[in-house]
Amino acid sequence: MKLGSWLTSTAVVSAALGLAIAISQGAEKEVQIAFLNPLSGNNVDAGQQDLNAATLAIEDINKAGGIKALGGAVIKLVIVDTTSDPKNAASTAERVFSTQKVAGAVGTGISGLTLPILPVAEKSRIPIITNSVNDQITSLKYKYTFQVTPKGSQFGSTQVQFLKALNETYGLGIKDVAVVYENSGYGVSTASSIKEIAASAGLNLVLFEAYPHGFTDASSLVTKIKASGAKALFPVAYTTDAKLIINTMKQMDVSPVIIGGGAGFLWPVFAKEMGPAVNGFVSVASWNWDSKSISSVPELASITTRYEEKFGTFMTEHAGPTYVAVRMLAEAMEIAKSADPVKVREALSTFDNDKIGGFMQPGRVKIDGTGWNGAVHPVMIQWQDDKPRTVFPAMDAVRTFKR
Amino acid sequence: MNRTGRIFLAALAGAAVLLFPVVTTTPYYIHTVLMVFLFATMGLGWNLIGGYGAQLSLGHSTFFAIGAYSAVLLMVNYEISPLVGGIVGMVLACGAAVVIGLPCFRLRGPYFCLATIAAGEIARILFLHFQEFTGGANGVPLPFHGDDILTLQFSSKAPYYYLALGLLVAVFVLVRWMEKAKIGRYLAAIREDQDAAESLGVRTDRVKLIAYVLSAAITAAAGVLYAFTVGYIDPDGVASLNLSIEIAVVVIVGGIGTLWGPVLGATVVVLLTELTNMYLGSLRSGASLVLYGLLLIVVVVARPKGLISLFDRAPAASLPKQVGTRVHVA
Repeated sequence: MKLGSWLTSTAVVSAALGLAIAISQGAEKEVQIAFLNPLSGNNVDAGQQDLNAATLAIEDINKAGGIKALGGAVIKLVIVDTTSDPKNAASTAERVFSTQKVAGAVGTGISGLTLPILPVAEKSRIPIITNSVNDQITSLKYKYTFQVTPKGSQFGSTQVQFLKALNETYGLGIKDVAVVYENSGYGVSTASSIKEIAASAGLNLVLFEAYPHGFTDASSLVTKIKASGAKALFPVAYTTDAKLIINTMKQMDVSPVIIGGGAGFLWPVFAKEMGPAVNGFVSVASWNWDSKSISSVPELASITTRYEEKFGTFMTEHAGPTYVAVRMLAEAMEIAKSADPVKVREALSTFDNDKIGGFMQPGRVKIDGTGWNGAVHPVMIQWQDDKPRTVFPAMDAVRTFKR
Repeated sequence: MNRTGRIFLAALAGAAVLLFPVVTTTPYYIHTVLMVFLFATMGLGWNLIGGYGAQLSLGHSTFFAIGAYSAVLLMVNYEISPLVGGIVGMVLACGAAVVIGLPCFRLRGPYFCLATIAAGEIARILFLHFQEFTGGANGVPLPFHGDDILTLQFSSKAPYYYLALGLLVAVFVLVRWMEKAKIGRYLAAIREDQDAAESLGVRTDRVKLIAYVLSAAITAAAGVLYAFTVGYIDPDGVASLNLSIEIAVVVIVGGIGTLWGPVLGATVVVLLTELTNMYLGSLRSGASLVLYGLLLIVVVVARPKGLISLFDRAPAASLPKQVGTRVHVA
């Protein structure tokens, strides 16, 4: 009886499974690219920016005649919501890679979601180009992983160099610095890099403190900043946390020079929440819409203009590299003359391009032996006229820093 | 349907489960059923303390994480096979269960539940804090070095599927035995009335602790298998309150305190998650999660005893009754 009931229930399981399997797989004539990003949960902001950029890139490619080497095949985006849960990210990747015929994939912009997807891409032999910044991504020796953005560890050195430049230009004499960071993959890799480089740059790290993402009271954190006597603060935060820290600092009358660690300090919602007070804030960015290599090339500048017209905000740090990632996949198909993921991967592994690659600072995408775009570096932005403008390093800057 | 017919149908279904990875070549389908197995296993484990003992624990992800991290870290840092590392993880999880259980079982009802949430959060923060050892928020990716049973690394999903199936069957048999054994009856007595049970000489703290420790070991074993199936773990993924809630939801939806409830619950919840994400995931508003939530609410409101209660009146199915109905407190 018991065995019978066990097996009967198994029948229920199998039937339910059959339902799941009943997926229609339409015969596509076009070439498909998988878009994996969080479209629900905590990280939905980032995912939406990525989706905007990918949609625009697909439009541009198709308008220009599709993949010419494949007889003008049009590209179709297979949009997949990884949700903001790493467990779901792995299983959604598993789903799209095993049920859809895709030439490659882009995503995600969140390191914690990207890392569980990479082994799935590797085993499925689908090249994936990510715009996450975590340092581990290309250290895993995966052959199908490509990282187009700067690494988190570069952020710190750029921020520290910028502070040095400020000290020299304005004679600020800042030596004591504090780092507060969100306890996530992105936070840890960015913050540790500041820690590592601070000493060699002659800076004194007086506080190195983590806080949990989405915390609701920053007063103890700000008290620590105040007590540390830091003259400059490097906060690594997403928008809500960034705003909370800054507002609490205002209330408690703590005012070191703030050099933001990307993400929250760069997004349109930050300007919306801070109002006119946003102008003057500086932050490191893995990408910025007006860097010299972009604004000096009309064709590239028009991408950012069209993005702004279509989606109502400037093109963000997440959007830019995603746009490049989609165009890179298309370009790799042209080079490989094939939509076979294995051949697309081969083309990507030696990818070197300064045309669409010009969209990444400093004006080139060059994939190295580990799958990383070794040419890239971060920039510093300052909010001026309600937009983030590139102010550092000099080779990318289009505006000067305002005190 | 007569008995022979039922056995025939059941044998057919059993064969379908066994042959599934042979018939389908799509890793995603195998992965999905595998996740059903893992959640069913964790649900069965959770049910020992949460269902039979009625001690609502929302901190089980801690044991899952201990299992996952032990096996992964021992392999990555010391090249110890996860077959050994997994056992170490289960033992450590048992230890953690004793440490958490001893003080927490002095509390009852919502207070116990809150204490387990707190314990789970402490564990998650500890995993984040000791980054030198655990990788902190960066997590630990498992580099893939080709198929090897000793390192539990397979390019195909099928071996993981059979391992998860084996684990599920083993845990199912164990729980089924426990249901009828003394401990199952003690637990049922505790569920019905802890004070009455104590007055009859049941050492309630000890019984609860044994169930909790066993439950922790089962959850840890599932954690080990999960880590090697997915190939990446981080505190937010494996030690989160979300996961603890998911484990409990599986049992609550299926039927709390029943043998088949967790299996049915895992099937429904995992498939529902996948189906809503598959069909609504590309909509930009998180519609999949809204529908998923709504469906769960409907299930819980319409069937507070879980979906398994749908089968209660089916005379032929001989599905399990609530344990409470066969309690003999002696």
